[in-house]
This record gives sequence, structure tokens and C-alpha cells, in this order.
Amino acid sequence: MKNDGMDPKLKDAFNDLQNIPPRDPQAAAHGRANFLKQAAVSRQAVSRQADQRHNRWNNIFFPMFVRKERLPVLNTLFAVVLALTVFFGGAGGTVYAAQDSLPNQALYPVKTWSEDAILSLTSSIQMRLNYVLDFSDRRVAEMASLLAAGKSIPEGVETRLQNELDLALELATGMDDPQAIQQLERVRQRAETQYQTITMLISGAPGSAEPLLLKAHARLQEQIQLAAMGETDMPKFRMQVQQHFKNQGGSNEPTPGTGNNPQGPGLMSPTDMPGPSGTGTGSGPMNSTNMPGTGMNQPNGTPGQYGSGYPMPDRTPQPGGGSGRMP
Amino acid sequence: MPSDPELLELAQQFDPQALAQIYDAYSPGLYRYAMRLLGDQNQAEDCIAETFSRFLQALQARRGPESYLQAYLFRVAHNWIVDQYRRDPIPPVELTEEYQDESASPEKDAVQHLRQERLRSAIKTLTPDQQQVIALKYLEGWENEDIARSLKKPIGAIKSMQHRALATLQRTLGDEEFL
Repeated sequence: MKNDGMDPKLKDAFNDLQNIPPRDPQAAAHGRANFLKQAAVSRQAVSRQADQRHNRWNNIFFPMFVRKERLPVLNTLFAVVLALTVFFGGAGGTVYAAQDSLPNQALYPVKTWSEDAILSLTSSIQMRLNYVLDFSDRRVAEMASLLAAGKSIPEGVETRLQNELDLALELATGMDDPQAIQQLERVRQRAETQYQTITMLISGAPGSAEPLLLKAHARLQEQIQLAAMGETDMPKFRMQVQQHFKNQGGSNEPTPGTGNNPQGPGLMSPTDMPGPSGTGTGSGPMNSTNMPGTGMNQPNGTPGQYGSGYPMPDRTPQPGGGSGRMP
Repeated sequence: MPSDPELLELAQQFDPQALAQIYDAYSPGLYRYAMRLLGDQNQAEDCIAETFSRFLQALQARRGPESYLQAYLFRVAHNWIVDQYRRDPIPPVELTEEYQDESASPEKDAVQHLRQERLRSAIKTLTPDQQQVIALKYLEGWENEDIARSLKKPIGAIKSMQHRALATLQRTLGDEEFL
């Protein structure tokens, strides 16, 4: 302690105050876990806003007068809400209010339904990719919010995330090469952000949530590797993704949803997944000789699935790839 | 461990490892600081949680620190403590098992914790800046230069605050026949 000619008795008093009990290790661990969970939520919130940063004024005012390609989710959501409001009165408001709901809340089925409706109503392949990337961000943010609130994550949320990741790849295969390469970079970056968030969540998650998080973690790792493959070797990427669809029967038609199922309409249930003989993430579309640092190690050995059940892109697939069917 | 600017650059991208490193590096010191000034473990934990929460909010809003992370975190923690002082009286220091050591008698413990309590009360009478100067200088052992960074004031102002704060403390505690 500094002295600076201080009265010795005052110095003793300061010394007394230095004597404090050690920190409770349990409280310290709890505090650390909470901080990391909060960081995961913040990270997700920031990445969702990334496209809108620095141009908030534009986002508020310009869409009223100018047709823009940005803000895809809100624009279509606005159209859906407007249509619902015209036909059913207050239902549109409910859909809008549901957008912040979590899987354990009553309005969540409305949220997932509205997402499916948006995808069904959108014909542009690029816009659909934008949506599906945003929706996958939502799934990861939902997982983080649920854990931060001490709630468990329903399996349907993770399944829905997997299907959205699948659809992102599927949509990329329907683009021409230069566009696909550009979009796969976005897919990869988004998956990297989500992967880091899930990594953070795993470190602070209760044991019961771990298997599900590990599953999402492995799938995101695979997403990063597949997208990276597409950026460097598009024909191979198309072949890998096509092979997956072929192996599982290539069912891309949407199926009616239950309305209450967090997986939403048109998504595969776990029982629909291809068996171990299929090309799951365990054996993976890539092998260790393809790219450094691969190895599709999915802890649970869950087979991968590439048929999202969402309608396929509205563009003719390019030679050598593209498994889409016209909606 | 990477330097503060390197860690901050990663933290601004919400890199999980960097954020965990920051928490591990600075939370023990912040706990000691809060405990010394608040004398209550629960409040000290709340202080740390709130400090790091505000740090995340600042990162999210792109107005977090660019350097001198320690100075920034202690400033945030101190602001929280000052707010706490305003809201609630300092809780009485309890003679818990953690405070007792084998060489000390219960009487000695009681006297020591009474003195701690009085010093905390006396510190509370200082201005918020004086409180921070005294706590960082005499409880945490910081150099004036670091304190100046934390308070965003020149070193001369820090020395002057320190001088006035010590005089006030001696007067306050002297009046109470503490010393």
C-alpha cells in the first residue's frame, strides 16, 4: 500500500479493509457462466443487425418510397401482416408480436408459421437465402435466450436450425457459379458466427442441454466446411449436395405443418432422416483428404439430412449441380 | 495473454475466448475492490455481474473502451458502487467464519470489523471521484497515472483529490475517535 506520509493509524485502517474473505468459487463460476451466456446473446444480436448498421435512417425512411433489396424479412413480413390485417383484423398484429417470442411461449408457433409463409411467398432465390440465413440466426439466438433464462431447448429448435442450414446450401446450388460462390461466403460467415455462439453456449450450458448443442455445433462445423468447399471447388460442392438429396429421395416439396410443431411445416422430423447407410454427417460429404481440418465428427452420430422440405429455388439448376424443383 | 488492445479488438467481435479471458483476468480484482468498498459478498457479485453486463452493452453499441480495459472496468464498477451507496446504506459487517482466523480472538475480529465498517462509512462521505481515488490508491495500490486514466482526469487533479480526501477521512474518523 502507498504511504505518502499518511497518518499511521489511517494506514492501519486501510490495511484492515484489505482483509476480505475469498470469493465463493461457486458464485464465481455462476457469474462467469452467466456472463458468457449474455455474451452469446449479445453476439447474436449484433450479427443480426450487421446488415442494418450505419444505415438505420435509410432503413426507416427509404423503404417507404424506394424499393430496396434490403430488409427482406421485414418487407415480406409487412406484406403478410398487411394481408392478414385486411382479411382477419387483429391477426396481423399477432403475427408481428410473435416475432420476438421464444419456443416456450404461446406465440412461437405463429412466429414459425410466419417464417414458413414468408419463404413460400418469396420467389427470388437470393431473397429466400437472405431469409433463411436470418431465420437460422434467430434459432441460435433463441437457444441462447432460453439458456440465459434457465430454460431447456426444445429439440424442434435444433432440428429447425439444421433444416435452415440445409436449405441455405440447397438454395446456393440453384445459383450460377459466381453468385453461388459469393453467397456461400455469406453462408460460411454466418455459420462461423453461429458456431462461435454455440461454442460459448456449450461452455456455460447445463449438462442436459449439451447433447443438443453439440449436435448443432457439429452441423455448423459441417456447414462451414461445405460452404468453404463451394467457395473453392463449386462442381465438387454441387456434386456433394446433390448426392445427399439423391440419397434421401430428394423430397423437397413442402408438407403441411401442424401449426404447433416448432419444426414448422415442410421440415423433416427425426424419423424422416436417412438411416446410417445414408450420407450423414458422421461419414460426411467430405473426407479428411479433401480439406484440411475436416472430419465430420458428429458426437451423436446423427445422420445428416439435406432435404429441407422447403420449396426449391425458382431457377433452373446449373449443369453439374442443383437439385431444385420448380415450386 | 494478449495485450488489452488485442483482447479488445477480439472482444468487439464478441470472440468467446477473448471475452472469457477478460472475465478471468479482471473479475478477481473487481471482486476484491467491490468487497472492500461494499463489505457484502452478494453485492460484490452483483457489482461484477453488472460491470460485465454494461461492458457487453457498450461493445454492442460500439462505444466500448479502445484501450486501458482495467481502468474502464474499474470505473464502471465504481459507478455501480456509488449508485449502490446512494440507494442503500452499507450493510453491517457480519462476523462470518471466513473472517475469522485461528490467531485472532472474537474480540479482535469484532474490533477489526467495526473499524472496517467505520472506514467504509467514512469513505462514503467523500465525493464519488475522491472515493475512487482513495480506493484505487490505498486499497488496490494503483499508481497515480493509472488512476488518472480510470477517472479520465490529469494526474495533478488526482493528487489534489487524494490530498483532500485523506484530510477529510482523518477529520471524519478523528471526530469519531476511531484512530
